[in-house]
Amino acid sequence: MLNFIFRRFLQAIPTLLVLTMLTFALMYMAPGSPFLTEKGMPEEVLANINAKYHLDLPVWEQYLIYLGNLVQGDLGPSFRYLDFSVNDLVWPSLAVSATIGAWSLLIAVTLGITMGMIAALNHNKWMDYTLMTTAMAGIVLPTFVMAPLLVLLLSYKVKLLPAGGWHDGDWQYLVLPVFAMATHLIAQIARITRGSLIEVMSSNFIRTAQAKGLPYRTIILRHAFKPMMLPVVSYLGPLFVGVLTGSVIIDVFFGTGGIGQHFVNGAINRDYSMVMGVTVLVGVMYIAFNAVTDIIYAYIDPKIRY
Amino acid sequence: MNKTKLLQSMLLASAVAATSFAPQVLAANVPAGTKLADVQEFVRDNGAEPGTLDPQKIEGVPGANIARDLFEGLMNQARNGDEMPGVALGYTTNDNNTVYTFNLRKDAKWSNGDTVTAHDFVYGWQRAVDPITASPYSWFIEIPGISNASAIIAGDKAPSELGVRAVDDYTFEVTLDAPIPFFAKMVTHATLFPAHRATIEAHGDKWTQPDNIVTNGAYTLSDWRVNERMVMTRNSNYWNDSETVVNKVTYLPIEAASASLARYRADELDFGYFPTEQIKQLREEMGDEIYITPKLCTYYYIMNVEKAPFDDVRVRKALSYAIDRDIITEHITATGQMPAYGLTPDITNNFSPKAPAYAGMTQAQRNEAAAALLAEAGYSDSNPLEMNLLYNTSEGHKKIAIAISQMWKQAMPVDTTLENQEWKTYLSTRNEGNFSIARAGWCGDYNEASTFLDLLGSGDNDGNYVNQEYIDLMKSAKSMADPSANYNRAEEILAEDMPIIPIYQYTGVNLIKPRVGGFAYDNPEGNVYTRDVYIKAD
Amino acid sequence: MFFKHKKVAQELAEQLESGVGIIEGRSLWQDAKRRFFRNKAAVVSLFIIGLIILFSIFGSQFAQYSYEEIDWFALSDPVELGRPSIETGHYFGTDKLGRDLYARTVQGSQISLMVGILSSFVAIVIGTLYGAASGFIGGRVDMVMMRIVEILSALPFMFMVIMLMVMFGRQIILIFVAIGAVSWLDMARIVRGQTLSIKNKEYIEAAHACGVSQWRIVVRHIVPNVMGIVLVYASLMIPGMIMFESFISFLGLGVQEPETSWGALISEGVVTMEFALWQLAFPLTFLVITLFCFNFVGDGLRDALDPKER
Repeated sequence: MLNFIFRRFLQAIPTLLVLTMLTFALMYMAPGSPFLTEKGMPEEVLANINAKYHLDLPVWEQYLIYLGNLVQGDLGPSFRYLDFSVNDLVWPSLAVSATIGAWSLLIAVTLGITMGMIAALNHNKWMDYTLMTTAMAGIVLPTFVMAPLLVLLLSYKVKLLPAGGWHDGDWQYLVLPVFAMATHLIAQIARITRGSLIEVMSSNFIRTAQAKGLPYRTIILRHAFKPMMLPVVSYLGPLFVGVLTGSVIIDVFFGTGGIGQHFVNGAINRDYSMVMGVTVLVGVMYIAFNAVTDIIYAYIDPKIRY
Repeated sequence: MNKTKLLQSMLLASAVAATSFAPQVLAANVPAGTKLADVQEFVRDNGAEPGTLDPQKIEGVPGANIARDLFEGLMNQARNGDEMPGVALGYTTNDNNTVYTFNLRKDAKWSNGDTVTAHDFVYGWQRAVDPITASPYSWFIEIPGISNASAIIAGDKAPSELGVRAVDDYTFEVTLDAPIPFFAKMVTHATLFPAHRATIEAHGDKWTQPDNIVTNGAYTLSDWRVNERMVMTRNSNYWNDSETVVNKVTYLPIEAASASLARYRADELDFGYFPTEQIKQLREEMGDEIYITPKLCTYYYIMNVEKAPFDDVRVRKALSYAIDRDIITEHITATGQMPAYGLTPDITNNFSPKAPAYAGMTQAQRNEAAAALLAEAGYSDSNPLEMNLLYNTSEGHKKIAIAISQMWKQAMPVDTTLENQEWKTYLSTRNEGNFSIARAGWCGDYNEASTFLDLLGSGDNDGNYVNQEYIDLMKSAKSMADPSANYNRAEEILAEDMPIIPIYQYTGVNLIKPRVGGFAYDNPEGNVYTRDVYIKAD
Repeated sequence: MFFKHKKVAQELAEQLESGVGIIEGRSLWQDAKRRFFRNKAAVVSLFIIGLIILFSIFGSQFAQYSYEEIDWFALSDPVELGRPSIETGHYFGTDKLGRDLYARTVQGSQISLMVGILSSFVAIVIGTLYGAASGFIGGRVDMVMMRIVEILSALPFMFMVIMLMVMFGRQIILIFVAIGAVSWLDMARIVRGQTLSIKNKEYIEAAHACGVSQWRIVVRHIVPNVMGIVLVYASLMIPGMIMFESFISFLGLGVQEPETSWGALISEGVVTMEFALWQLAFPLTFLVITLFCFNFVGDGLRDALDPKER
C-alpha cells in the first residue's frame, strides 16, 4: 500500500511536468495576450508591463521561471486582478466551491445510490420507471435553466431564499447553489448505480448465493454492494474533481465567488498564471483521485493487482 | 454657448485667469423634508470585478466607479459633467495655458489622518508614468502632454522629471507641452489621483488590500471578496464627511444582467441592470425604476480599407447606407439609443456637428443609393459581394449583426457570413487586420470630441485608414482654443470616406430603487459619487 | 423462499446443460435484437427518435419562413406579434429577432442530433478501446496510458478549443472532434476499472490458455462484457454533449449564426421565459423528449446486450 502510494507520487512528477509544459505551450500559441485591450496602448506602455511580468522573455525562459516559483508554492501574480497573486485568489474561491461541491455530492451520492439500487432491484417495474424518470428531470433541465428558475420561484415569487451572494457560506446562501448542482448529479449517479447493480445481480456468484438460500438483505449488502460500486467509483473520481472545482454557471449566476469563474475568465482574459494555477490544481486533484480510485478498486475486488 | 465653453473663453481672455467656483461642494444634497432611512446602506451592481483598486493602474469602468468613492482628485465632476472643486479649491493658468497651478484645500485628509498635500499628487502622477509601476493607463498622462511624460514612459528620463511640482504643501503646479483646453476636465480621472507614498512603499502591490489601504475619498475599504462583493465604510477623516449620508457601500461584481435583475427583484440591490430584451415587460412591472440616459459611447463597424472589397469607397458607403439604424435602435437595442451617422456622440461637450447628408434621407432613398453604389462597384446578383462580419461573442452584438446582415441582403446583392470570436481572439484578429468588417465600440475617456476623432487621427488604427487632411486637422486641433471647426470638418471627411459605419450611440440603462436619492445616473460619463446618495425612509 | 431458489438453481442447471447449443444456434446480435424488440419502452422511444430525425430532415418542407430571415413586422413586437400562431405561419412563434422559431428548431435539431449522436459515438469507441486496452494489458503500459488520461483531463479545455479554431477555422465537423476529444477520457477510466476486474475472470484466463490473441480477447471478450456500463454511460453522455455544444458555440467555435442548435435556442429562451415562454418551451421540449428516449433506448440496449442474460 505505502509502496503503491510512493510509486504514484513519483509518477505524478513527470505527469505534472508534461501537463504544465503542454498548457504553457497551448496558452502562448493561442491568439491574444493578457494586456491586449480594445483601446490598445502605446508600445512603450506595453513594454513596461511586459518587463514587469517577464512577458518579454522567450517562452521557455518564462516556463523555467514559472516552474521555479511553482516548486516554492508560488503560483505567480494574476494578470487580470493586478492586486492579487494567484494564490490569494485560488484558495478562498476553492473553499467556496468545495463547500458547495461537498454538500451537493453528499446529497447526490446518498440519494443517487439509494434511488439507483431501488430501481435496479425493481428492474423494468413501475418503481424503476418512476424513479428513473424523476431522476432524469435533473439531467434534462440544464443548470442555466434550473438556476434562474429556482431564483424566480424561491427568491422572487416567494421571498424565501437570497438570490445570490455567499456571505461566508451562511446556510441560506448555500441552499440554491447546492440544489442546482445536486439535482444534476443525482440522476447521473442513480443511473450508473442502477446499471451496475442490474449487471451484478445477474452474475453467477449472486445466483449462487441466491441458490444457497442466503437472505436477500445479505446478498445485496454483503455480496452485491461491493462489485456494484466499481463503476460508480470510477465515475465518482472525475466527478469529484469537477464538483470540487465548481461550475461556472453556478458561480456566475449566484455570485458566489467560487473557483469555476476563474477557469473561464482566466482563459478569456488570457490570465496566464491563473490558467496555469487552476490547471496545476486540477491536475494534482485528478492524480490524487485516480490513485484513491485505484486503491478503492483493490479493496472492492482483491483480485485486482497493479 | 454652454458652460464649459464659457469657462474656456474666460480662461483664455485673461492673462492669468483665476477661476473661482461658486461655494458649491460635492455632497449629498438632501431636499428639505426628506425623511431619511435609519439604515444608510447602498448596494450596487458594478458590472464586473475591477482589475485593480490602484488609481494609477485602473482602466475600465468598474475600477473607476470604486476609485471615485475611495479617492478624490484635484477636481470632481458635477452631475452635468462640469468640473467642480475636489481636493483643489480652484486653479490658475499662465497666459498661454501651459502651466496650471492648483490651489489645494488645507482640510483634506487621508483615512489614516495624514493631510493630503501637493506632494501626494506629485508622487501619484510620477508613479503613473514610472515604468516600474507598469500602469496600463500611463498613456493617459501623455494625452494632455504633461512635460516629459512620454520620455519617462519610454524609459528615457527619470520619473522625477515629470512636469509636476509641489510649490508648497498646498500648491500643485503642472506644466504642459502645449495648451490643452480640456486639461482641467481630465484631472477628475483616477489616473491623476493622489497616492499615499508610505502605504505603497510599505506594502507594494498589496497596498490596496482592506487591511493596508489608505484612502482620501469619502469611503474606505473594509472587505473585498473577489467575484463576490466589496464593502466600503465611511472615511471619518474625509474633509466633507459631515455631509456624507450613506454609511456603507457594497459593490457586487455581477457580470450577467439576468443575475443582476434577479437580485434586484429579490431586493438585494439598490442599483442594477437587466437584459434589454425584457425592457417592455419591466416597464409595466417597474417602469419608474428604469433610468435611461445617453452615454458618451458610439457603436460602429470598422472596415479594413486596405483589403478588397473595402478599398472601394462605394462599397463602404453602400453598406453604411443600407443599414436601417432606426430599426436597430427601436427594436433591437430598444433602450433609448440614438442612431449614429457620425463617430462623435451628440452629447459630447462643446461639439455640435452638422449631420451628414445621408442622415437626412429616408431609408428607402438610402437603400436605393446603396444598391446603385454597389452596382457601380461591379456587384450584381450573379456576382454578389461576399464577406465575413466579425464580432466578439455577445448576445447583443449577435442580434445586431444578424439584423444588419439581413438588411444588407434584402437591399442589395450581399452575402454576409457571420463570425463570432471570443474576446481576446477577436481583439487579436482585429489588431492584426485579419478581418474585412468588424464590430467596434468606443467610449470617451473624457468629455471632448477628440477622444473619439483621434481614433482615426493617426495611420495606426485597426482598419488602416489614412487620410492626411484628417490627420492634420486633428493635430492642429490639439492646440486650438476652439477646435470645433476642425472637428466638424473631420466628421465630414468620415462621411465622405466612410472608413467606419456608425450605427448607434449608447445609453446607460439602470434600475434604481425608489428609496435611493441623489444618484447621479444622468452624468454623461457615468461618473457617480456615492457620497451624493442618500436612502429615503419608506 | 425455498421455492424461488429452487427455480434459480433449476435455471442454472438448464443453462449449463444447453449452454453450448444456444451459443452456436443464434448469434449474439440476433439474440439481442429479439430481446430489444420485446422491450416496449425502448421500442417506442426508438420510434420517437426516428420521428424527431425525420422532423429535422423534412420539417423545413412545412415551414413558411426560412430559418434566417427576419420577419420585420414581428420584430417590432416579438412578444405580441411573435406568438405561436397558425395564421402568421409561425407555428412555434418567433425568436426575439422575429425569426421563425419552427424553422430554427428544425435546423437546430439537425445540429444537436448530429453533435449528440456522433460525438458520443466517437467518445465511446475511443474510450472503450483505450480503457479496455489499458486495463487489460496492465503494468507499465497501463500506467503510462492512465497518466496520459490524467494530463488530457487537466488540460484547460478552453485553450484546446481556441487552438482548434485557430488551426482549422470554422468547420462544423470540428465540434465533433473537439467534443469527442475530451469526452472519451471519463469513458476510458470507467472501462478500465471494469476491465481490471473482468480480466481476472475464469473465462478470460481460459481464452489465454487457448492461445487467443490479446487483441481478440479485448474485442471479443472484454468489450462485450463492459458494454452494459458503457451503454448506461452513453445515455448520460448524449444530453451532456448536446448542452456542451452550446457552450462551445458560445466560445465562437462550432455553430455560428444564423445556424443554431437546441442548446443555443434554449439559452436564448431562458432570458425571455417570463413573458415569451414559447421561445424556451419548444426547443426545451424537443431536447427533453429526445433525452428521455435515448435513456430508454440505452436501457433497452443494455438489457438486450447483457451476455449473462443469454
